[in-house]
Amino acid sequence: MPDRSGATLFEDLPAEMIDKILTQLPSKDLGRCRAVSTSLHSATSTSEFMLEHHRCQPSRPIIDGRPRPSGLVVFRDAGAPQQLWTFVWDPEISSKELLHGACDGFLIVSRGLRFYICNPAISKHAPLPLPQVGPENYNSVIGFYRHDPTGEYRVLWVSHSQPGSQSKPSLYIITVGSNKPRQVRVRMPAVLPPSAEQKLLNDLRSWSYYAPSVHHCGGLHWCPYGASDIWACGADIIVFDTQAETFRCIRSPAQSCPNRKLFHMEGTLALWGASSTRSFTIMDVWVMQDYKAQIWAFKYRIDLSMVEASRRLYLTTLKKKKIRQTPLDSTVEEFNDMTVLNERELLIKFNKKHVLHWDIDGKFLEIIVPILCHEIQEEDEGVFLLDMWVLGILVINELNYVLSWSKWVLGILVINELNYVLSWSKGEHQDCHFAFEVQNSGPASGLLLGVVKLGACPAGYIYKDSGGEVLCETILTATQADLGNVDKLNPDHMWREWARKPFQTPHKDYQRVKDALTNMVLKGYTQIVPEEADRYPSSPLIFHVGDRLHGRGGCTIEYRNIAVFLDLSENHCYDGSDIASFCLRCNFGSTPIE
Amino acid sequence: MATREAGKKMIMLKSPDGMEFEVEEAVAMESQTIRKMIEDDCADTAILIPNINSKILSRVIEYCNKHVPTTGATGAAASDTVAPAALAEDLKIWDAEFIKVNRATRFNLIQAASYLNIKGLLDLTSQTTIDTISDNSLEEIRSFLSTKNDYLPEEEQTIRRENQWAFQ
Repeated sequence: MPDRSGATLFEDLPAEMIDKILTQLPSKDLGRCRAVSTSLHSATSTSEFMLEHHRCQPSRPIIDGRPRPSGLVVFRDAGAPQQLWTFVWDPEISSKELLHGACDGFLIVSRGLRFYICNPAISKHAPLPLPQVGPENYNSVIGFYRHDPTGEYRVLWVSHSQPGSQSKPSLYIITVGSNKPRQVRVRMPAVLPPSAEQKLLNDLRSWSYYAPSVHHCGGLHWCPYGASDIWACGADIIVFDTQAETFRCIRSPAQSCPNRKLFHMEGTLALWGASSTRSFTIMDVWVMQDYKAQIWAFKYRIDLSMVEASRRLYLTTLKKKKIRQTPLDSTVEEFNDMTVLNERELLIKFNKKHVLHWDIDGKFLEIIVPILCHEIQEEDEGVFLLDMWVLGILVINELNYVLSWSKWVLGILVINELNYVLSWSKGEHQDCHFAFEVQNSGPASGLLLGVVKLGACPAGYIYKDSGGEVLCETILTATQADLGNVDKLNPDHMWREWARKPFQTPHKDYQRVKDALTNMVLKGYTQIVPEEADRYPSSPLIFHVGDRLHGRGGCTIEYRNIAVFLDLSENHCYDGSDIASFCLRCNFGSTPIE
Repeated sequence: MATREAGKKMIMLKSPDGMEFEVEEAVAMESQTIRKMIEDDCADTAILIPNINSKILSRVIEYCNKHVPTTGATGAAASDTVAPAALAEDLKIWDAEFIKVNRATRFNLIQAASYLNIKGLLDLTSQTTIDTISDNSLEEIRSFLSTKNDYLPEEEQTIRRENQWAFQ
């Protein structure tokens, strides 16, 4: 109806017109419209509207700069440089959550052992029930999808007891909104023996860590990351039919590639394959041409030399504009992952820590730095991530979300351009879901010299402070890590013990390790930190505290061709010269590392 | 207003305020609603277009006149031949001028386009509205949509917090 002045109001338009306009609004504008009036808010709050709006929007990748204060960053507008937009689903716990899946704009994230479904667009989240509850059980999300016939959102889980115990992993489905987990009988592809069931579930669980399943044509698809995982049946992609709830296999076009990953492209299934296991320099991209007939078509090849050449070219233009030093200055040495933004533009992860935005014609568009808490954006502009072992880009379902994935790892150390340690993130052991809370999260100013790890877990770091003094900071907190008694513990048992215990009490050896390490570096072992280490902070020294191989309380220190053992009980260091005698004494099976 | 041309079938459109518009059938059939009426033989006499006043109806006819597929010398519709790029560009410029109207007229045009089911006009008017909403502040959007803020202050704060990212 016209208002008092006789003019037609927006709200007088036919409902379908209002919907048509609102569904086409970019998300951010829609977010503002929700605050305009209660009627607009309710019109945009129905699940039908949200789903329709989501479908009308172009896909947006997410880059996960997880250790940063506001973890997930959406790459906002393809084409426009550095249009990054952060979202925080809960400011209190942001940066500590891990992302497990995305579907229709909903995300599944976990913190510690708890899982949540959240809608970041309206900052809402709700806890998800777990298939099996109890200290002995570990639950992994391996799929998140919309069930076509019912429109229900469902979560596929593998739930298992602690590794090493007799119990087998089992498959569960939970419908979002229900509290009743439903165990699903694993119906295997006919070509596989029934005995392969356990291996299948374990594989799906570990593959999902590297890259979540890709939902296409009613099926969830997984592809092994390494060639060794190829199934005996000759097919290397496992498909879970979400309607029949059965598994089947299909062939990828890149079976000979040790590295490959599924994603979505042009509305169909796509895959990149790289021909070597590590530091690969060529990625071939295929798309599924005919899903039923399983026909793949080769799309294009991304060659490192091309990317590197265009980076140089781009850099020259940047220098002309006098832009300060960026991570772009590093040579592109290897690819790690990629995803597509649209038909022409890609995001490529390189050198294990940077992401670049590239045009398939070879035009270098920009570098993307995963950061970005808007409050600190200004001063933190140069931040990049260091030593991200499994940071990867991943694409989820139709939405084409991109994330870095650093699940398998040990916690991430963030340093800025000046090598200032900014923060630790928690680590998570692949088998143990072991949440490592950071003890020393305050920024330590200094040049990072080395990382201390306890097994797979960061235990401390060595740094040179602003006054040039070499210091060691440990973050040891494990309660069962009795370094003198490791030989009495089965290693697996040990990890499990840690996984279960709350990490509150500092380890009793905290002070001892700290003192010993500090002593060690002060006593001249700084020699194993040559000048190079300053220039290549991404090759930190690796310390293993509490070497379980020989059951001694101490650290092994590996750096290039030097191996040193620090015996905590004697507060003594064995270096390369007397390592042979030490090896004899401790049955330490290795010689100095070549 | 359309003028009679030899050999072309004309249709009479009537607005509720009593104005009559004689238009070529092809022009009127840009509207899927009118097309259906004509095809169902419901259009012997004048067609009454409810809810659309003469001012808006004349603008709609102006739009349809411009967008009706050009007819060739033989009289055959050339809608299936691809319009030359120059022509398309010309239409775009014309559209941009056409839509420079006040807010109320634009909403009326949306209503009319929706009722008459004229796809091109619908797209044009809704896209213009989307563009206007985009990148405007909350207050500007409110004023543009001539929508009253019926939130209580604390409610508005909550909604703003929920959608905080949209205000960054």
